[in-house]
Amino acid sequence: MTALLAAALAGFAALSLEILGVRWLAPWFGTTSLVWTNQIGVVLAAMAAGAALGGRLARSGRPPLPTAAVLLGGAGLLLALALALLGPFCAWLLPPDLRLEEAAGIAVGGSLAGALLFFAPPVLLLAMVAPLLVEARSAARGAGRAAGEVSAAGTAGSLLGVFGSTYLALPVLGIRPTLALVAAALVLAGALLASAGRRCRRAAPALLPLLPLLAPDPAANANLPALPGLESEVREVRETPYQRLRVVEFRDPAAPGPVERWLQMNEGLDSYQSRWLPDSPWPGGYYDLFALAPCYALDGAAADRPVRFWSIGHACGAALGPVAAVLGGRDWRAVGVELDPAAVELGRKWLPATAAAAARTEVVIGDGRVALRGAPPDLDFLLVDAYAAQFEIPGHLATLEFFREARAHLRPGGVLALNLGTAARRAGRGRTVRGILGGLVEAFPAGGVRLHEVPFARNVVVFARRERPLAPLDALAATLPGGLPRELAGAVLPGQVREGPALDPGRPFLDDRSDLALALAREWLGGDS
Amino acid sequence: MAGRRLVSAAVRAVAVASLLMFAADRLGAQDPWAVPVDAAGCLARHAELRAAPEDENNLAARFLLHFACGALAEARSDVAALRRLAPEGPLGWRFGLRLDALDPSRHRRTRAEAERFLRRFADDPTVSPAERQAVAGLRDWLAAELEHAEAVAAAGRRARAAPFAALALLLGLVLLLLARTRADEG
Repeated sequence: MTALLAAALAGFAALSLEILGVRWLAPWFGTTSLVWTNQIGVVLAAMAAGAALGGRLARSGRPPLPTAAVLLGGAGLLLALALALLGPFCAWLLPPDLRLEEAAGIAVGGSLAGALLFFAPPVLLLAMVAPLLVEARSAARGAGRAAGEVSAAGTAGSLLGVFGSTYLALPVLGIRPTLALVAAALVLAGALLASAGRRCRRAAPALLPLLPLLAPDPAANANLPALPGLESEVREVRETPYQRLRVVEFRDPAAPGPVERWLQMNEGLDSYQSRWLPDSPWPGGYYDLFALAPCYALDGAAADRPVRFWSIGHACGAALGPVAAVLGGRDWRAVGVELDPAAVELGRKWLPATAAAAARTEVVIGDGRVALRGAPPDLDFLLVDAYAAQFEIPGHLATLEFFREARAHLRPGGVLALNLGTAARRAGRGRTVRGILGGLVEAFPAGGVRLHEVPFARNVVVFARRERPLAPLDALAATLPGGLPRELAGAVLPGQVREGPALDPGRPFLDDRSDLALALAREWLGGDS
Repeated sequence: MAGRRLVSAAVRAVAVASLLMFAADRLGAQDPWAVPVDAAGCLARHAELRAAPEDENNLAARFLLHFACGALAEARSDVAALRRLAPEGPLGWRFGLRLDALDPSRHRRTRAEAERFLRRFADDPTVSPAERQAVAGLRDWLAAELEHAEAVAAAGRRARAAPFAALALLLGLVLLLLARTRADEG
């Protein structure tokens, strides 16, 4: 039984490290598919090497249980060392004021190095334990039965590690405390296993892994953005099952109150998931261009009917301000769909919409595409601003099939508006945007598709209208009400707009065939695809 | 990539700084910063300027308006048109600034070229106080951008080298464990 418990603990620790390891790296390197690939690949390689080495060690003549004890304790101490050194390593690697488009290549190399340095060694030792435990049990149980039992126990421990990481470690304990406890448990288990039923006099080293918790969390201010003349401060951090969120507040040292707040995900950098200004409904950037959605959608529509729209990727509801400003006194109702409830909670606390906008908006927690199936068939417009990681568009929200589903929920003349971040050198001309444009052009054959470059930003916002053409730019310009930010003027001038053949649409992404993830990786790692 | 962006940004910054002062000078008593604050006002002014004859004042005002609104494609067209109309124009062209001709990955050469430009500029007695003030801010900005680009390039080198160093350490650990097991077997 001792051996099986040791196997379970080793499995639990290895999978906890695999899952939590990426989240631990997230404040510096993000959680893109590239980072996950590094982590999973390194852990698997370490497991393979560890199993091979453990097998040799098992046949070497060393007593298996005491040797396994040393390996467990050693893994715990290596994990404790990682807890102390990971933060300084990441801080050494990353320069201050790094921009999102500069970060991708550094994140890939940095996360790979971090996984090799800090996660691979303890996982290697943990993977060496199982063959020793099989050797220990084989004499009494037979090799096959011993191998099956140890494997089952290890897998059970791994399952506990996977589910425990998501449902307990992240929301309740936190990453560093969890890993410190795991390290302490490994050291303690090693001591107990080594004592083999005698009174254990060497349990004190189990406290060593807890020491790094005495230091402040180095991840709290990782990649903290800076704005000229303003001080920045992290107001709250939340680890959710989906991502790491933090609220950053910017203050003028000479004035009371915040100047603005950002909700950032994972590595943050100079990017934000939501932006809030206390005295203005205009968050800036691509959010302001969402104000064009009602302008396009209500062109030619009856003026007295209530306006209904959905927003996928609702987060803190930053898109509501510009839309409400354009709708003015007109009656409207909105549904905001957000996958992560923590983003909604942080939004209500730190980046609140106006009371009037909040009263007209119902927030639904869930996947955007799944939720959309419950949408009415006659929406005036649909806003889509969804990102799985800093720059990764969820694959299922970028396909031809999704655009057709979205179209089916729009009334004739209704509009779909998408925000697309892009790192492509020729803004908005990489494979990602071209593929999405290809899907939109095919899904909205009888209407119009138009791309607006967002002034002073990496983003483009694309509008597609069902069954009716989009208003010509000069007619659109004539309908813009007063009081809109001047950047909206820039966004509707011909040089910032593409439509028709100038869109240069590419092959659409499909649900069962898509190179979107590869295209994004190539674009953000430094070249157009 | 960082270097390429730096060079193009530096060229833009020099062009913007010099064109803003050029525009201010040419527009005379008018406030060169009097771009309408809202979109509707800007669009109306855009239409008004497009309808007017295309002379230096008109192009300068259009450049200011388009740049303030973020309509950079229009702003670039205004610059091109101004260069055709006023080849003896703003200080970037006068001094033959060739940042755009440099290899974007060579920060030292970029810095050297920028220093050469700024020395010539500082020595030129025909440069107005307003132009000096505009370029003073530009010098600080350029120094900060160069420093940032060099820091990013250094981080990139570390990020490329770190996995190999980590792999070497890990292989060392594996070889050490392998040697121990062989010793035990032996």
